[in-house]
Amino acid sequence: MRQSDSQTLEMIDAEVLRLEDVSFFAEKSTGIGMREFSSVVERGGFVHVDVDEHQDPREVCSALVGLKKLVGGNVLYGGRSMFGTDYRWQFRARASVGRVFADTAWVENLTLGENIRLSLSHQRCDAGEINRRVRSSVDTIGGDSSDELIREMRKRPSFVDPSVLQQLQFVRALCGNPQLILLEHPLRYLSTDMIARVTDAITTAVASGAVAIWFGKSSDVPERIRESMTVSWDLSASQIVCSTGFSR
Amino acid sequence: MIRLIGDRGGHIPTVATVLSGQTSGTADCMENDAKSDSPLILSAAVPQSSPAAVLRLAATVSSGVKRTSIAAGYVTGTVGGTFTRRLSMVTETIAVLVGSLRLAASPTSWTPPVRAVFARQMLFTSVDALPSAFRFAAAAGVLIIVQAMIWIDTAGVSSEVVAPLLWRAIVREVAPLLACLVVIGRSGIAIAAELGTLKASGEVEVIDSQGIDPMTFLVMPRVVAFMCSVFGLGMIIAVTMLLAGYVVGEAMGTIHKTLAGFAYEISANFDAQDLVFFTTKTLLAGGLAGGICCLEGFSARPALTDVPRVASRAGIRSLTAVFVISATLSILFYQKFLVFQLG
Repeated sequence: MRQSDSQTLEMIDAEVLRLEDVSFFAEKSTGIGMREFSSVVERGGFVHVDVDEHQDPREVCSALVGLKKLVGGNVLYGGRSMFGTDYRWQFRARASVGRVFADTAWVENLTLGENIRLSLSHQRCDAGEINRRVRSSVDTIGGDSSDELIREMRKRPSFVDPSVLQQLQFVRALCGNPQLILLEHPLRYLSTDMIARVTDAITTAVASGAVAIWFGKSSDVPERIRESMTVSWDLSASQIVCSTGFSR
Repeated sequence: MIRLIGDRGGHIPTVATVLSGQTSGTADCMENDAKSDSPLILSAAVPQSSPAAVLRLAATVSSGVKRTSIAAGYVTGTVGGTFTRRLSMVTETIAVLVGSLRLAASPTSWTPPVRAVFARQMLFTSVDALPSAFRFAAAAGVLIIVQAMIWIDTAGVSSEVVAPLLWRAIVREVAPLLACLVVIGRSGIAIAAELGTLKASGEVEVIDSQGIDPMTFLVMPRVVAFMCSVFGLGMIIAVTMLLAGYVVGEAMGTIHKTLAGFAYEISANFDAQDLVFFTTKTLLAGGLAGGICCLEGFSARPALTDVPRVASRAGIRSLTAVFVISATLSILFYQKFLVFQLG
């Protein structure tokens, strides 16, 4: 029986993500798969996957966190399989992953604030601590418009502008101090000044030891992010087949 | 002369004859052969008399046997498949109920978001359902008690004879059933539609991606709220039925007692078995109905057009389950089926 998680995952030492001969086929025609793909990403690693705007990385990201069945191979997170039977650990592991989704990203019958606090609250974090972390993330992502973001967090997702929703996705992804950040077309709907703040936030998180995997068109990647990237996972016929960089 | 045209080994051998200088019999024979996809064809220059007739008969019988066996296989497969699917559905529902109870028994499951979902579900399923529960209970109470009082006068029996019957009918059968109907009608279908929408729009994946178990967050609080709601509403419905029946019965002149006397007479029939029966029935039926609605919601395909289908199916299946459970528990409790004594 699956149990709810009651504590956060301990800090992973060096090797955050290891993919061993992973084969995965996406159900959607626009989805991305993997073909006997192996890679190792260590702390502070920044992976870029060059995908076109029409390609949807959602399924492959779900596969990386153990939510979609693989055809073959294994995904190890912090040295443990995401596809084992220790469901309690798997939920704790997923709670330590920050994710910016490409499409549906919110539970519609909760306000944005409740959505952002949901995971931390479910891990029984102290309410004061949750508020502090969320406020800190909002200040980082929102900059001068952080008060406006706070106001928007009282609304439900359907009533909020997509650019605000995208900024709040970053707030949610970063407020849990994630060890792995999955970014699916992360710059969609963001204006130039918003992109600059998001870039700062991501590079800071990576510099402090998190691993980030960026799915997006290479021409859209900001220069500062490009400089931080250490590995590239290369596609062939919509399937990730090999990696280039230090972890090859 | 007999000529072997072809042999597709392993099949039932079917024969056909072709008469030289043919008559109508040949055409029939060839038609039979074509229909039966004959694996073995014999061409025979034989008279239309006995050997040909025997061969033709053999072909017909063989073809018939083959078709019968195919039909039997199809029927068996259909029946078996249906049975397996139904059995799988029952086991899945029981698994959801048992899993929810196990999760509910663990204090670590009751995190603040789970408590919030449970509280909200209790509000929708119990508190908001009170007006409709009162209406249904009042109507049913009037029908049952006035009918009973009329028959007391007609049959010339005393109310002491009918009171236990009324009490048991209301507490053990009608009130739990009505409570289930109210809860399924108001909330069960809504839950299936809500979960179906969550699944179809990818929100379940969003929840799961954040390390939140959908079973703990979405299913368990709803199933437990269903059980509590059916239990609570069942008690309220029982009391409302008795009160409404008394008020209308007295106004019509069919009840000749004071409220205190009526209440005393009815409640004097209370025994511990009633509590056991009522509790078991409401909790089990409520839990199963909640489990079925959640399961059906999660069975939605990733398209919003599938949501109405799963919602209506959830309503029908949970109602069926409630009636079956109600009848089964009554049989088990009384150890009687109609007039037959069990055991």
